[in-house]
Amino acid sequence: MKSAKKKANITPLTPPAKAAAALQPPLIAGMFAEAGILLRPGRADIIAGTLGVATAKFRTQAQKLAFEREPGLFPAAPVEMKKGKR
Amino acid sequence: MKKTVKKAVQKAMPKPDLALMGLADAARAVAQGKVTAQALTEACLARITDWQPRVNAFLKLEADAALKAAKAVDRARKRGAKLGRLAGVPLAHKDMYYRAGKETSCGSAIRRHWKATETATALQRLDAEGALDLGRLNMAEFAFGPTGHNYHYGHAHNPWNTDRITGGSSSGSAAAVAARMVFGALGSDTGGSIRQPAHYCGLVGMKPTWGRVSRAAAMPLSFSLDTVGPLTRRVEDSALLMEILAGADPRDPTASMQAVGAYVAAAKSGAVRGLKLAVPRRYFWDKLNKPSAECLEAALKLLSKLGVKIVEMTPPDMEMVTAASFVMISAEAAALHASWLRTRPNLYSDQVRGRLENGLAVSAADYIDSQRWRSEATAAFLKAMNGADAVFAPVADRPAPTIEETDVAGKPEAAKTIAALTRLTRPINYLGLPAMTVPAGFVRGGLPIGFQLIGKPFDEAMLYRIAGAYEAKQPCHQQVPV
Repeated sequence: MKSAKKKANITPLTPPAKAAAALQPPLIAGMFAEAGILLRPGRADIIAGTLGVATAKFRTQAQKLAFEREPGLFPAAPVEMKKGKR
Repeated sequence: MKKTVKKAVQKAMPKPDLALMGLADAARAVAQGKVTAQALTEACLARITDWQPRVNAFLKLEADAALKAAKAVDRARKRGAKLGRLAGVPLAHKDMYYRAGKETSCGSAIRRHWKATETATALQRLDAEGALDLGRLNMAEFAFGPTGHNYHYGHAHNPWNTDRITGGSSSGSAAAVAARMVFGALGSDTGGSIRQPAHYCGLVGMKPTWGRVSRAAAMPLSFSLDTVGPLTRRVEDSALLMEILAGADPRDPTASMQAVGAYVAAAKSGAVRGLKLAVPRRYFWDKLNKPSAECLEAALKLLSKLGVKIVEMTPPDMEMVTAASFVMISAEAAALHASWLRTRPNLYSDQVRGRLENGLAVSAADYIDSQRWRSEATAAFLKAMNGADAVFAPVADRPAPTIEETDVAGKPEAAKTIAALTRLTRPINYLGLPAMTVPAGFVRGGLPIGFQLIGKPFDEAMLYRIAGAYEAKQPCHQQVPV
């Protein structure tokens, strides 16, 4: 019974698509063309390679971000308070 | 007869080179009438004549205007007028601080003849204290390069060894201050552009907390990471400039309202006994070369002798912080430059154009996530400090490499080389924390190296306190490049 309840609360998940580290070079080339920026030959591959390493690394962290987390710098830093003082 | 002999001896004695003084000492000497502003300026101009062909620090020299201003300071002093804290002290600045009516190239071909219509708050604050401005200094194109190479105006050279890089992007600032051409200079630091050249050139370089110094009318590169700060030869000099530069500014809404600390007093206090300094061996020591590691261990030993408690810390995943900072800087710089990338891409050097293009392919979601993770990463770093007053870390893995070996423009290894040069400084910009380079000593070949002190938000005073105490025992500034 308990197991059935538990099961009922589970939202069926779509299996995640395999994350690509960065856009594929033809997509990058298309994106630049759409933005009106001339891309030199071979550059799309280099961009894909360079971004791939950094963004793939960062996305592993980004996936752990709380849904409610907002952009910021210092507000979430721990405030040191002396004992007994408010 | 005796008087004649005395005069003859005085004449025969070499005059002390006034340009070798520290900035604060020079300011005091002018205020007390021991030296004139004109004499200081002439001493700097003599150094510039000697060193400019070797280091290419200046893009534009304003000798006549500076001499005129120096004479005005001397007249004011004679009149008994109240002088500013920097009256008559010759400075010069990275060519990205706008001065109304003057050209500001930003180290680029795109802005070669561009004239600013407003003056940077940082310059206004220095002007208000009577500082002299000797001209505009070389820099990496649009401050987007860590080596000191500039394909439009010529590369800057390290005064300690002119085959070596100055580091960047504040290349001219570092070369000019190290060669004693000026007493101090403004740089800017988005990923290490003050701290890293300070390390390579044996200088004190302060990257303040994000928001500590106004960025109004300074060229932007990445508004979430950009900071304005000084390069000087001595800790007290840096503290003095920071007291003048820091503080709220109605022209820059990101400039903090937090009270400015007593930086000069902190630098001179010498009171470090009982302070706790955290050392993050993981990541920061991973690729450090042996001579640098030995020099830093000696520095730690000295600090320990002064009564500073040295403790180990385990920092959060700094590779991740670096990756997040890469996403952030790439996207923001690309957004700022997108228009020029459309209309005049050929005016960029290969290296800068390539780096800017990277950012155009960063997704909006990745960029926003880099902003969302920021406070978490900062909190994790501060927690890892575990109550320490500051963090002690290397600035770079080794002393200055050669200009030739780092000349990677347009080559596939460019991204890797750039990442390697800034891997120890870039993450701190993402965390928004204050960090300063302090000259640690010299390694074989006479090349200087420094260490990095990283502090809590808006705790620049603590960094000056520790740096000042270290410098008093290890006065690296007494060595002068020849």
